[in-house]
Amino acid sequence: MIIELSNVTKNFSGFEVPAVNKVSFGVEAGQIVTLLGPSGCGKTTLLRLIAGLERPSDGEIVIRGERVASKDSWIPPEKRSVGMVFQDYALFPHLSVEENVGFGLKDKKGSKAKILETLELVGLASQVKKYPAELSGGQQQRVALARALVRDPAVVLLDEPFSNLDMSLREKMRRDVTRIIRKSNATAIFVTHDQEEALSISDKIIVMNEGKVEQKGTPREIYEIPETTFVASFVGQSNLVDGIIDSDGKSVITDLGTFSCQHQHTKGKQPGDKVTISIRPNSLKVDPQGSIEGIVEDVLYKGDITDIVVRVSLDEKTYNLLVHVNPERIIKRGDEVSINIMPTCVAGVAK
Amino acid sequence: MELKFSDIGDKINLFRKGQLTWPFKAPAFILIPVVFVALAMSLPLFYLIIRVWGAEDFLDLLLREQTIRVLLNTVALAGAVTLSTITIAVPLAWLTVRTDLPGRRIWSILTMVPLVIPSLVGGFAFVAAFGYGGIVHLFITDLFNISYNPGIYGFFGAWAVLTLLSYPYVLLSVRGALLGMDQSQEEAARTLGQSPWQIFWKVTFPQLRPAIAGGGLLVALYTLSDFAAVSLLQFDSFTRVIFLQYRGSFNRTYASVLALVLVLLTMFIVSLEMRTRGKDRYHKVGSGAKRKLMKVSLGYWKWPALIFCTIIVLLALVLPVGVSLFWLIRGLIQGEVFILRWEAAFNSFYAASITAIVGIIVALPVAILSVRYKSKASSLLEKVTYAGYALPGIVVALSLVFFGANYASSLYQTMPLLVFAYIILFLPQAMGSLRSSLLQLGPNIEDAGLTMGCSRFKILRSVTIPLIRPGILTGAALIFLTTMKELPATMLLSPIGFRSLTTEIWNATTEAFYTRAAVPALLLVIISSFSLWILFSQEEKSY
Repeated sequence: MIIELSNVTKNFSGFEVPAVNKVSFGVEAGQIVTLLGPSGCGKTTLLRLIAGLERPSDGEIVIRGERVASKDSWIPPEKRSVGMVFQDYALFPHLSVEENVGFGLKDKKGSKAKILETLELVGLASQVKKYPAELSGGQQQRVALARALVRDPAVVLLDEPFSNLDMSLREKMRRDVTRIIRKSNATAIFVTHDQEEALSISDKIIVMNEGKVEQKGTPREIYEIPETTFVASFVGQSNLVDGIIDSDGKSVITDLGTFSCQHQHTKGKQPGDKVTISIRPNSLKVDPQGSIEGIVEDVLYKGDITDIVVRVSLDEKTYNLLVHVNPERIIKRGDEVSINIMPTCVAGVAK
Repeated sequence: MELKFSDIGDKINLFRKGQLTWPFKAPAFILIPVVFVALAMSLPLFYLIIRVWGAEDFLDLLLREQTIRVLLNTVALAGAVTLSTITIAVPLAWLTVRTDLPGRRIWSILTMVPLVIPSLVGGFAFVAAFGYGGIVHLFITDLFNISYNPGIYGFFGAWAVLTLLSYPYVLLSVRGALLGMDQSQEEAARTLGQSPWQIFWKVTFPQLRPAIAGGGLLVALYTLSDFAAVSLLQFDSFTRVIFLQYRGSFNRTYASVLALVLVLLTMFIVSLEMRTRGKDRYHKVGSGAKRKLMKVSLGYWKWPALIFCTIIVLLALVLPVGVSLFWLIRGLIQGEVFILRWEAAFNSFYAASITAIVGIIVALPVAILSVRYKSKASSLLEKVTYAGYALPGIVVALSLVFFGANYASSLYQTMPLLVFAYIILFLPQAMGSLRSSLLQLGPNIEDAGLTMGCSRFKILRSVTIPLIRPGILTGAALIFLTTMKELPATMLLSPIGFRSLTTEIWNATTEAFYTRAAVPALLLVIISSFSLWILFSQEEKSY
């Protein structure tokens, strides 16, 4: 582990609830880790704690084996081996690209080559003499990245790095930045509230809510096996259905049928215990043979996919299920449809 | 923030036990200078309190009939000036912002320009026009060969001069409120079936009240701390009586007692003024085109409106400049020798330059602490450095005179002590521009430096200071220009034989040699035009 956090807590004076609440996780060298969560969940504070721009109220942070923050040790940010890319890039407007990147380098002679090498890596070798104001948003972003990478830090911290870019550029920069980070063998921690971004760039995602870690795992684990209803509904869309554990101790009986959840978070539960399951919209299929019948409430055409909301009225309860359908299929509001649930993609959720 | 001594004891104990963290986050190279600055800034008030406390007859002095009379005089003057400025400024603001007044743009500038007339110049001009030996007096005595007493001295004169000098403060804040008002609110009110008149009273006016209150309190503060106008017009408000007590050397302790009462009064107004101001105003206006405000058509009412604007501009602007020019030309015709003593101009320039340089060095750490390392403790330190905002010049001067005479006789009547007084008075002038440039810079850029392995000192030197250079220059210029205009501290503390532009005007006016005051007065108007121009261009930038 190149970075290890254990029980890191941050209280801000004037707030009763800690901004970061007993957070623990580790990052391995070369990994890209994403802190994902809604705004105000404490992810940026956590990043600033790792950088040393904030001091934890409790807990411990270890970077490359050195304890940088704990009850009785404190290493200030300038002495930590971190690089940071800020949301607004925070480039020095009065310094050229080259001077920006070289700002933190001590050794004047060796630095020239290092600066050029890093700028080559980010594809800006031809812009060394320019000033930040003369660069496009994407180029500024890459200067910020070069500046963070140039000292070969143990970890590069990126705070919502793509949120200032417009949609069309964002996708490209996402690919470019991850490629550059992979190429330089750097370890990186991203902060984002964009679940799609988190799923596409990370080796590991840490989902946060209200200062706490909700779930850690690979993008696939997070999406396919959400451990909590928060994760299930924040990362991708999800239909949450209540049920109870069957007598085999594994399957879950719900109004919509009985599912044997492959990935269970139902360990330790007894038959008859209440649980919630998450059914992703892409595991629901409109199928004339389908066992569940309902009426189409809403049709949301999105180009590459169409979302429909199907109202299923059962004896006691009504469910509004979100279903992905192929946009070639013409479905109107009010249509009666049958749907099928593919049992492999149903996950039990420990609340 | 209230702080009791027992609290402090508790906190120290907690701190020792390690249960309380050090209340400052700032590095030592910021914190230590700020502590020194705060101590120095609190010296005049602290010493004044000690001196008054030490006096045996403190209570007798305080309850003297004269004290009460001066207090009533001062409060009456401040109240009258505040009311009359509001009466002038609110209609002016409305006419120049929300109506089709002919020449609206020119009027909105002309009605604001009297801000450049320092009170010393305003007082001089009024006396040189209507007082003994003034233009009107000369004219009448020459023409009709009779002698008469110009009845301008006392309350009336002080009230008239201060009203004409200070109404732009209310105008400025009300105009700002009118201009910043959201047109869509009035449109919403219209769609809800309200008439324009109802809209003014129900939607527009309630939103102007804070601006009127804020501007009015600034006027009250201006009146309380003004020395030159009340003294030249011989009205016994605090500043004049304090000066006379000191000069007359009858009872210097009494001067201190009066000064302390004046300080309490100004502090009260300052605290009210701060409450109306709310938090930092440095928010950028959102993007998107701003729609033009609806203009009210005046119709035939435009004639009285034009006459009103003309009278105000004539009295507040044309009169002081015209009177100065009159005496200058008259002096030139009569071959007056002392049109301008170069020595005085040089002295003013010299003292103001030193003050600007030292002032900015002193202000920078305070601004950094208050913007970057906000905490209860740091805001207390910052507040202390605003002492000059609440302390009238005469009070600071008086306190330093006593301090110098008793404890620092080698400094008494030397340049360093004079510069010290100037810095106490004008440090807040630089704080605004420094703070706003730091706020606009944002902390991320400094944090970025930290994550690149640079020390805070290096970041200050090679990132922060270069990037806030415009703010530094503005702050220095404002200190420089305000120092040039200062009178009471200059009179009381300057080295023997030191003449400045302001003391020249003062001496010439009190001795009725108006010709000698004309050029310094015009120079001061030009100087204060510069400082105003800087302030305004800075305000534009912050939007």
